[in-house]
Amino acid sequence: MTRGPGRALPVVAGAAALLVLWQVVVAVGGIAPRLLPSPARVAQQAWAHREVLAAHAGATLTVTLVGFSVSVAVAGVLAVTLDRLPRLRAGVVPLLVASQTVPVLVVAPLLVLWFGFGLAPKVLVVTLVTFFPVALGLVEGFAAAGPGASALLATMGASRWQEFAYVRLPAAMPRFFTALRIGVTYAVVGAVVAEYAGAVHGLGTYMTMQRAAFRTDLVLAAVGVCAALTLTLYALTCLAERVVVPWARPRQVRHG
Amino acid sequence: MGDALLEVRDMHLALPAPGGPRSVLAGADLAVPRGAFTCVVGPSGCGKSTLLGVVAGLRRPDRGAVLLDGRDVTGTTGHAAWMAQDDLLLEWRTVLDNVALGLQVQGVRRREARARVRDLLDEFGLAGHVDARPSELSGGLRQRAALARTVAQGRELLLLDEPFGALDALTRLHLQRWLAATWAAHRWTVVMVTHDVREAVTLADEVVRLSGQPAQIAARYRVDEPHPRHPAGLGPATRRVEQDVLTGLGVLGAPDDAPVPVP
Ligand SMILES: Nc1ncnc2c1ncn2[C@@H]1O[C@H](COP(=O)(O)OP(=O)(O)O)[C@@H](O)[C@H]1O
Ligand SMILES: [Mg+2]
Repeated sequence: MTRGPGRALPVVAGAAALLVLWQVVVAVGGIAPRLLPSPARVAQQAWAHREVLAAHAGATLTVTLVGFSVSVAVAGVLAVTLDRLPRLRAGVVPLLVASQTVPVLVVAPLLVLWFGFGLAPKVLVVTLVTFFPVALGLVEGFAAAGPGASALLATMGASRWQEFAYVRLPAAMPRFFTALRIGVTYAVVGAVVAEYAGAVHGLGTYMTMQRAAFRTDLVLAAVGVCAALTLTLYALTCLAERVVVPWARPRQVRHG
Repeated sequence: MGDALLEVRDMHLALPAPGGPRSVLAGADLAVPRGAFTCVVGPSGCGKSTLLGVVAGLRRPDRGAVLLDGRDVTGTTGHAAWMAQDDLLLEWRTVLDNVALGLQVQGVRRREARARVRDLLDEFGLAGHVDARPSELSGGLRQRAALARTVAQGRELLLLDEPFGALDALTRLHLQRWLAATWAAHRWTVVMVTHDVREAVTLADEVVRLSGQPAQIAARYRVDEPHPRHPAGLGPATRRVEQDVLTGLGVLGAPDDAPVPVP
């Protein structure tokens, strides 16, 4: 298992090669910037419009974080409840799966219609798209504890709360963080889609405006900012995982 | 009988099976004096783990009672330290925190619980692995850690379910010898399930043999050799008891007069 910079190298090299290829195709083919701007132009224009982009990125980030927090909080309450009530769990998990088939692109404009242009509809969209992986990750995580450890705690005379705190919660953490990593990547996309459907601020709104103005370079610049946001949040989640779930990465091989 | 720490009386239990409940325990009785070591042997799947689980309070028997020091503890938990067949070490806790778990459950703060079990780790040969995670330990060290966690609960009664069952033969011999010496120094009251008759006669004051399903007490054997015994150096009387138990299990003797029970 290779870790650290060694693993990132091929990714960086691949991305660089793609950018070079793109630059060459645009320059040699003489493609119009409004059809496909060169990466150099996108970068240059992004820098020129950095303040506006940053403001919109801030709005998107707010929606993402609020929506994702709501999602994690609600998923946590639901998962703990379902963990306590196994019969309910069997009925509710399929509903969670079904919730995932709702086409967000169609629902987002409806939510704007119902809740207006404020934070609420956008937060709701982010919650909708991220709720499923997080809730399922927690439900499965609690179940991953297995009956043995719970029996052990029972023989020790543990209360239900102690059993939860000492066994089920920590046992759920690896799966929870896998779910968080998936969820956080959906969250940014969800926020942008919601802004697309109708908003005053945010990268989604900005893309709509720039597309209408045939500023393909700025649309792509906004896409780049989205990607950067997603990658940053993903990296932060991985970092948190290393701190909270250190046992998932054995420090050394077996000995003794 | 009067001075028994643990008494199991007329234990009956049926468990769900395809085609309706099936009797697993059909009238098991035990009496374990304070400070005695009792081993339970029997064919695989006969109900040894189930019996131990009932004593630990994980299941309520259909009939019968579990008495600890004369007190009825049937169907309740928290009176005995139980070690499962699987070591059940919590992967997210270090060895020290695993061993301290029982005290924490009893309401002792983490710092104090850790401080109180440190000496035990030395005695259990875990001094160099205090901060290791279970995944970093060998099989033998894992069993030592699980045993230490059981002892650290400070209960008078220890219930051990095949603690060395999953180990290779050499590690097992080492641990049997070590447990024999450690137990002789402490004299915990122990009920231990094993499928290894040599192990049973090395450690036990009394070996209880269960019949096949449904389990009843088929025979009891006393082992009088002084403790600690060495599994590779047992006296002739103990060796004779070992032969008797093996014969009772149908492993010795001519195949046609003592058929091997099919599990
Ligand atoms: N939870 C359970 N539900 C139904 N049957 C069980 C359960 N646990 C064990 N049994 C059955 O009870 C019998 C005794 O099991 P066990 O006590 O584990 O045997 P042993 O420990 O002696 O090998 C077996 O036939 C097993 O299939
Ligand atoms: Mg068993």
